[in-house]
This record gives sequence, C-alpha cells and structure tokens, in this order.
Amino acid sequence: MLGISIYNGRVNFIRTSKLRNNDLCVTHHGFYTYSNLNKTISNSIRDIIKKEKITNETSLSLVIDSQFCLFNQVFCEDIDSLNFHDNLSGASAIKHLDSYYYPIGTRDDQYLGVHVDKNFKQQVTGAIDKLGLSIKSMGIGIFSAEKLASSLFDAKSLNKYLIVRFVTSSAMEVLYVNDGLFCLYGRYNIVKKGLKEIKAIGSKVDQKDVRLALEQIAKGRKSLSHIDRAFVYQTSGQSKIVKSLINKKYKDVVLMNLFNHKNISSLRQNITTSMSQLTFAELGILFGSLNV
Amino acid sequence: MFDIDLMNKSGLQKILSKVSVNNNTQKHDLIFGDLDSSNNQGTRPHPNLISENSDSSPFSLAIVILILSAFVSLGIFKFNEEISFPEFSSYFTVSDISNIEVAKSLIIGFLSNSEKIGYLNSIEIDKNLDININVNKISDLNLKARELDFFHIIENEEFYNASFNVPLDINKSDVDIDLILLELLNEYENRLDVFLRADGEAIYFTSNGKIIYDILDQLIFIKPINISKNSNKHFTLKFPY
Repeated sequence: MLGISIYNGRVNFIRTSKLRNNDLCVTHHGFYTYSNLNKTISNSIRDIIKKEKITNETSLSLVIDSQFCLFNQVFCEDIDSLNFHDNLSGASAIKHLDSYYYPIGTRDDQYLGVHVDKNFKQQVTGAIDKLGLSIKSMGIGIFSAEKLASSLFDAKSLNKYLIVRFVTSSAMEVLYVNDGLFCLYGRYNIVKKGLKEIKAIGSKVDQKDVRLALEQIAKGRKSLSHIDRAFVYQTSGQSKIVKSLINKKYKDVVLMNLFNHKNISSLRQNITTSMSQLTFAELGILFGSLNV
Repeated sequence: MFDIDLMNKSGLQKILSKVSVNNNTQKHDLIFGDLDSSNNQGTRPHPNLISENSDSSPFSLAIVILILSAFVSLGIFKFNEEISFPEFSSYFTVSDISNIEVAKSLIIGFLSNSEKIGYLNSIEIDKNLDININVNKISDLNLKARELDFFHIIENEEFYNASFNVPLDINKSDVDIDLILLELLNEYENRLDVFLRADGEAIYFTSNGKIIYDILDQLIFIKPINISKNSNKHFTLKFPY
C-alpha cells in the first residue's frame, strides 16, 4: 500500500507490503520538496511513482495537512438543522467548500466541522487520476497520526490520551481521545507567559484537562497529571521540547517515531534524523489495521 | 476513534458504533525492508509466541517434573527405551511460525538490509526445495529466536561454513511455469534496472535486492534457484529452465 502526506511544499511517502503472515514490511519511504503548493500537487505523486520505481500500485492513501482544512464546531441534531446552520453562513460562503461533520464528545448533537476547499481536492484528485491511480482514502494529518498512536504505540489501551503535533516550534495542534471517544480538537501557541489558545473544540472539562497537560509539556515536565499519555511529533522545525524527548524513555510523554516505535536504544538516531523520522507520523493511516 | 475520509460524501458523518478494543487479537510485526540492519532489532518474530511460551513453560516444566518423579519412584524409567508422551505433546509446541515465513524474513533481510547484504554469500533453493542461506559472518546478525532454529555452523581448522537451512515442505507441482515466466518477462524485460539473460539451461535476472526478492517470491516453490551476489547492491537470480 502506498501512502502520501501532502504539505505546502513537501510530500512524505511510505510504501508498505503485507507479508504472507500479515506482518507489514515498509519497503519504501522518503520525501520530496517543492517550491510551492501547485508544484507539490502537480509533480509530487508522479515523482514518487517514477523515481522510486513503484510499479505495482494501483491506488494510494492520501493524507492532507490539516492546515488545508478549516475547523469549527456546530450543534445540530439532524440533517435539517445542519442545513439551517449552512443557511445562516450564507450559500456563497460555503459553496466552494466540502463540509464534513464528525461527532465530538459524549453529546449527541455536538459535531466538529471539517471544511476543505473543493478546488484543492479536485486539483489533488485530478493529478492522481492523470497517473491512472485511484484514491483509497483522503485523511487529515493529525487524525492519521492518531491511527499510528493507536496501532503502534498502544494508545488504544489508554483511557485518556493526547496527540500533540508541533506545527512549528511554538504552534501546537492537539487531538484528545477520552475513553475511545474523540473529545477535543485544538490549536495552541506557546508564548512567553504560557499557552495561548487559538481554537479549542470540545467540552469545557476536556479543554481544561488538555490545557493543563499542554502547559506541563510546554514547561518540559515529563509526567502529566490529568491525562494518561501524550503522543508527540513534529512536522516542521525543531522544537526544544520535542528535541528534549529524543532518545529518552518517559511514560507519560512519548515521541511518535514510527521507525523506532519500541524506543530501542540500539535504533536511536541523532537529533536531525529523529526529527525527520517524526514527520512520518501523519502516515499512520497505513498502519491502522496493524496490532503490534 | 473514527476514520476521517474526505473522499466520502460530505455532510453529517454518523459514527454508528464504537469499535471495542480487543487486545487479544492476533498481533503482527512491522518490518523495515529498506533500513539498517539494526532496525530489525525492533521487530518481533511473533509477539504472541512470547506470551504463549512464558505461560506454558512453567506448566510444561511442572508436568515434566511430575512425570519424571513418577517414573523414578515407580522404578520404570529405563534409559535405553524410547519414551514418548503423546498426550502431552501439545505442551511442547515451540512455535506456530511456518518455515516459509522464517525463510522469507531472512531472505528479505539479506537482500535489502545494507549491513546484512555484506554478510551474504549466496542463497540456494535445492532440488528438495530446502533453502540454504550461506553467510560469511555471524556476529551482529541479531537473529530472532525462531531463526536460530535453522542456523548451522560447521567449523574446523581449515573450513568455516555458517548457513541457515530451512526446509520449506511446499511444492507447487501444479503451477504453470511458462505462464509465470511470461508474466515475469513482461514485467521486467523493458526495465532499465533489471538485466535479463538466458542460456541453454537457465534464465538469469540481475537487479537490486528488492526486485530479486519480488522475482524469487514468484518462483520460490517450483524449482531449484540460486541467488548470487554481484556487488553489495546487485544480485543474480538463476532459475533453471
């Protein structure tokens, strides 16, 4: 299976092959960089197929950077009330977006709205169609990373866990799962005096617990008080907080390095290689069915 | 937690049920085919095997002690007689990983792992379809427990030979060799990274480890095969035809 994660000027790819005993073998992995998004979309997948000599794949799993999506929160009970919400926004404001609403928290009427530009989707799907390939799925970065935490890092056995993406050294994107339920999506910035909330979608109680955990992480603490574990990765830049976790073994704060998922000392790499390896966490969708 | 797929129809995404977590399901391994040899240390030959063995070993030991005690105390233990315990045989099962899985895991390692390639002399499948992987160095191989079952070293003052001998116990006698070869030729004959050659007795594929493994995977249960190392990046697979 071929998986590709698309960012503004970069794509990461992993190709896996299932062995006869259902073990999974990573046969290819790497990245390509481009000067802008248009070039990334139009050239990257062709480059991966051609330069990596991948000949026997007919489809691929895509993961797009969450920065290409808009997120909001809606409360609605059925499709009619959703239409009401859309009408309030105005048809012209949303007609260029594909909107998806996913249940969040324990309430029946609370949804996370995920909106993606139709033109962007068409550009991506068109580039793949041209190559004669089909798209198996189109996921979103941090949600795909959650699959990696669940499959390779045993997050599924925990009651409360956080997925923390360092978008840059000071910007964090967060996803919180409580008792198997997706409970919070948030974005935060680390500032001098602490943490600045940019967006937090979820219940107030969950927001409080997540904020406390993030403040503890930002202060460099390696144990968390209200959450079982935080799974951390970075897609761009080199955060001091993330670097301080490399080649360390902490129970509550874990780096999501796919290539050393058991954190074995003999597999440890230097900081540059480790930071590069962390960026592949968002291809976790490829490992969703793996029970390691 | 649910899957997000933006290829679905937009609108409300109803999650019908929360999938319950079952940690007792079959566990699998993650292998990195194109990384350093040390990465294989992070893989596990068969995770369930570890727990199964750790559970059964004390029990097996207790049974063996009980049986031995009974024999000794009753005076019926005779060293020269053949003894079998068919009713307890299930407790002594070592592994449920098949030989072919072990063989393939070894071959992938020696064809794709940059350090292990250096240790490889040759890979041969003989007329009984037993695999022999001959290596020139045994330190740093980081073998898994099941792989050690097939590892043999013959050493004296003049001679040193280390190899894995894995009987496959499978013979695809009913396959259409012509069709398989035709498909392989169609796939590889125009490839710049594959060199094809044939003489009166065999067809030869020369390429990198990944491609050679793919070809071997197609031909493995049919006839004797020889894989020789041309360099640390290229191998030649000889298939008699």
